[in-house]
Amino acid sequence: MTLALAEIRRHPGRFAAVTGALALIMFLVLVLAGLSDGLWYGATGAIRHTDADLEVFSVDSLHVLTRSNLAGSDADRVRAVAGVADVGAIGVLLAPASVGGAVRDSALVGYAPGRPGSPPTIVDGRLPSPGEPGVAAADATQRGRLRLGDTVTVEGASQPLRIVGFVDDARFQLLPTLWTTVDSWRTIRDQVRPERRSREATVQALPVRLAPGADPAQVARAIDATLGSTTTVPRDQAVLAIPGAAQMRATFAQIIVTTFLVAALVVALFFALLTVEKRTLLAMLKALGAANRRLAGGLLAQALLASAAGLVLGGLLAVALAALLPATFPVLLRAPTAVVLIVAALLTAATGVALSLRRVTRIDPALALGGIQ
Amino acid sequence: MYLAFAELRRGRLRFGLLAAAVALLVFLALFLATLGQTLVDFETGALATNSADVFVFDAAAHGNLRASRLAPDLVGSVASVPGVGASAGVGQADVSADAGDGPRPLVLFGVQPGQPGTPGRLVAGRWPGAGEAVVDRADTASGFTLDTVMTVRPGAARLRVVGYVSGARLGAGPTAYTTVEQWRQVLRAGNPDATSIPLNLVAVRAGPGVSATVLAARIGAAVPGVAAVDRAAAAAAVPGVALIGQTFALLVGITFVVAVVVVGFFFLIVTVQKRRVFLALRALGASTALLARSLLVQVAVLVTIGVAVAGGVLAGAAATMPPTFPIAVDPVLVGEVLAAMLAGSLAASLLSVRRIAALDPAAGQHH
Amino acid sequence: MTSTMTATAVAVQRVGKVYGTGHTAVAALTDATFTVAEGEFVALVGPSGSGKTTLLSVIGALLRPTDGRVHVGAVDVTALSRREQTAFRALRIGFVFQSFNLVPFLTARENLTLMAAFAGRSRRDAGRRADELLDELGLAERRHHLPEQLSGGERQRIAIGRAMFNDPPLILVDEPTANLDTDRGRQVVQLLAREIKQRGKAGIMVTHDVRMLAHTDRTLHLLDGRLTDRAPEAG
Repeated sequence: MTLALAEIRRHPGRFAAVTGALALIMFLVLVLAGLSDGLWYGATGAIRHTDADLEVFSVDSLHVLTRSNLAGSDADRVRAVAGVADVGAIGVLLAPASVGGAVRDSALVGYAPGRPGSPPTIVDGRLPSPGEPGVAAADATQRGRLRLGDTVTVEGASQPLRIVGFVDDARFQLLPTLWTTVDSWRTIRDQVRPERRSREATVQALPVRLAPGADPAQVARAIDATLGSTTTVPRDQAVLAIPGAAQMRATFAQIIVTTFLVAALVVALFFALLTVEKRTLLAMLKALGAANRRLAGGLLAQALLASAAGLVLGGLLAVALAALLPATFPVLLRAPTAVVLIVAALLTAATGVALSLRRVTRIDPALALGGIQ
Repeated sequence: MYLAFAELRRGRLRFGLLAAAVALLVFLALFLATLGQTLVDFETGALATNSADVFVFDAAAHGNLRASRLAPDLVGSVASVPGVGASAGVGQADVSADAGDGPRPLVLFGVQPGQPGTPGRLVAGRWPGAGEAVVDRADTASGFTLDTVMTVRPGAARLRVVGYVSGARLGAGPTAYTTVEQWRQVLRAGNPDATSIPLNLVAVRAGPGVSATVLAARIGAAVPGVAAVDRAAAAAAVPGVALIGQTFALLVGITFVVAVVVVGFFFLIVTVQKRRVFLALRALGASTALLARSLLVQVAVLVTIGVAVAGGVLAGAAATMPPTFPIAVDPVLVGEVLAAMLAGSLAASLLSVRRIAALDPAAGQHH
Repeated sequence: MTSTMTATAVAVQRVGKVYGTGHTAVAALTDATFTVAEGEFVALVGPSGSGKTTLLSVIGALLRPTDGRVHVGAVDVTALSRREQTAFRALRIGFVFQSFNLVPFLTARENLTLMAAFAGRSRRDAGRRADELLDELGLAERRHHLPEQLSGGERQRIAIGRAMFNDPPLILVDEPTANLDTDRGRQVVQLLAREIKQRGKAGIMVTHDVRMLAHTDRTLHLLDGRLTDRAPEAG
């Protein structure tokens, strides 16, 4: 070990190359993973991060919220189904909204305060009260742009919404998201989507909380049988049906795996080079009685150390980039993801150096005699 | 040259590993670039390859086609603006369609065949009449093939596929075009209470001698409550597209830098390792230029092999993409990446060349 | 301290080494038999390709012979497994190589203490032992220098200290003067001879430099892989 560490201390330049390359690769991996997480969490929060167990959609909706349409009165029929503890309501309107003249595409989510489907994590202020008109809670990513008491106007709507609170992880399709009562939502929706006006009050989905011990699949079947025009799925399945979210995540996972392959190759490459260079030295050490295990262990330690340094550097770069990027970039660096990636990177480095470990054990100590160059 | 190639042959493992690392990195860059471009094309195709020159939006929609609502009588106001060659209303709806193997999400456009607003490229069959539709060619993989009849919900309108258009998707999913009347019926079936079905856009073709930008400005000034933009601007304004473009550009850039740095570091290490050999060769009379050229040739050969392999891997990856999301290898992109990689790697190896130039041939005699 | 000159430290019995098989087989060493006593410093000379390196490798547990046995003390080194050979070399054999023989990124002192790690000894004792040896070799003030900061002679003295570090009964020396001028080379061989005598080791030195034979007890001549019967020229 002393040997391996002394080499790094006295010849840092050699290891700087592999550390530098790995830092950049790790930076790329972390940005990719940050983007993957950012896209996933930003696209799904409004449905994923709620207390609903099941989501009831209209039968032709393919479980996509924006394609679904249900009568508000369906909620009472769902509530009567055995195993259902409570039912909420949810509707979403994707439309530009302005704050002090600045317009951005936004999502307006209508929900039933206090019922299933509510955003659970309030980071500031409060949520709209049941039946309270003209107020909304904004998702927490808008905190730089909005303050409590500000008003937001959906373009084309007659009444503004006053911000009364901020909720975390509550975005829909990566849009700045506002949570208002389902009645407020419907009023605004009917103003900007005249073709959706109808005699009966509509919603888009019904979030359901199950009674303790109820079987989700059984209750879902019972709901669909009772209403006849719905398709009810667990919340997780509704999350996966959000257009593009799951596909994007799978694509990024593949890209990240490929990037790890590159990292393994780079580690293999540099340590193969260093091992070739040190062939004579290694033969001499073996002649002096250094066991293969010691030399291979030293090499492994060097690879892990150089990689770990690269990981730290790459991590710092990624954090710096995430801080510098405009807030519109959906990069989300999460500690659990980072831990998984760091472990994977170290395993990758160990795999990469394996080739050189074999080379080391194959070096013939007898080369040390007879004046080799 | 002899020197360069002899060394490549002898050091197969190390140069092979380097070529593999470069190939994978270039593949990543190519894949990300292709994926980003394909996503943008799929998100914006309906506007970007449209037959219209100018699109008229509801001003409140801020360029978001899905949020735009225009009263049907607005088509007449637009038509009367001087310089408008032809104009027609366009409607859009997110529906589901079943071509026999279960419902799938479908973006349905209502257009008027022969008028602006239709896709720019009809590649098979003919434009639709009542009870008919054309689909994007990429959507044949989803079962929407010529002569299939799809059932569209809400409602249960049955539309026969009578033609294919190309590059005309919106939102990277199956996209179909039918007549405005048919589209209106589908929306009405979704909400029988609706008193009117607004259009999403008015598509405009410029008259002879009028530029799209000038006409867009003229329409915006003449018709209240609307925003008119040319085709390219309308495509660029599709929500999320700018972000997709920037994000993928960032990823491609980082990957590219990693590739160049790996190549640069590798040759630097190899050069340092070969100091003795270089010294001996210098002492034997080899010029700096010869040794530098030999190094640069190695870099060029390796990068070219790496990019070629990457192009091959990309073709393989393209084959494994789901048929509903086809990506195509763009030879121009591969060429550009090769040129950029060569330039970047050769620049990075100048560090090594400087080391060679700094060698003192007299020192070679001590070894 | 007195040492008995009678005990046998190394016994080489009918050792042969053939490289390759069939038509391409080359006998590098044939029927080599001799012994070296404790406190005896033996030179092994012969032209290039005569089998000196092969013989030294076999004695040093670096190479397994095709025939015969080599005992170092009571241990038959030819019967050891690869792993046992490694441990045996660390503990029972001291090597002095001809060039590039120090670890370039370790200081003089670290080059010595490294041997304690190979032998599985404690680090603190190792430091003390290294300082003692460096003192004796006149290198106390150079202990924290890297090999590149030392002269060729100093490097060889460190290599001798390293060979002595684990107190092995046998010291094997491979062309120690190859990269040194005559004076420095002579000093190094004198030092080797003195250390071997004082410490009661057995020493075997491969050399091509006949001037160095004056410092050894006996000379073994190799020609075409066989020990020849030429009379010792000196001592």
